[in-house]
Amino acid sequence: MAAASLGAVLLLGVAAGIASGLFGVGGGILFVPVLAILLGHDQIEAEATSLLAVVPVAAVGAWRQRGYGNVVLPHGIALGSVAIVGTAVGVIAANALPERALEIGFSMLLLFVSARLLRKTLRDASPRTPTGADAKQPR
Amino acid sequence: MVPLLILMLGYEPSVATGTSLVAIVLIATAGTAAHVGYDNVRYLDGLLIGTPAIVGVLLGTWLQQRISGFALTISFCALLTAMALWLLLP
Repeated sequence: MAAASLGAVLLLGVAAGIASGLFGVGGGILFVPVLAILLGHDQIEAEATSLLAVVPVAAVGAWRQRGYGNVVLPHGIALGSVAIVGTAVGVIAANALPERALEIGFSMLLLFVSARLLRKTLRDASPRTPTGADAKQPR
Repeated sequence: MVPLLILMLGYEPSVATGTSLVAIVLIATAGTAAHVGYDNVRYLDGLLIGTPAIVGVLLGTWLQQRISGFALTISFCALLTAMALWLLLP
């Protein structure tokens, strides 16, 4: 591998870790494209290798967050255990479906979740939702 | 996981992210095991990307304690949207 590529992989690895710590994601959101684009993995290899890398990263992140008092351990364990069933179905689906379908499906999920989260955050941040009537008759 | 905890269980964003990481350890372990069965894992590349990410996660959790929940959630939404658009590119 060229030195520039190696440098990019290492830098993006650090960036993925920062995203993991900040946002509570595994880091796969960056690992997968880095593995696919810079290291030449196909989509399934990138997803599988990303999952392997996520294990120690999430473990270190969870350990730090526990120190900061940001972990509800029983909920995390319960959620993870339930989701393992979903992961098993996901791995089978990833092997059965065309890659483009996986990409489009995942994109739609991300956009939907982002919109819902944005709406809630903005609603919580404002004391109440303004309406047309409020605009006409401000108090 | 984080949106689920915030939207459905009413978690504070930072607690949602910390709790999510616990769940992710379990999920990623199981997912890796399943992919090993399909021979999809490239171990050296996993090490190559995972090692710098451990440094990153220490930085990220440290940084998170210093920003507001609002800023955290808005930037999370931006990240999700950017990823979705990137994936949609042909």
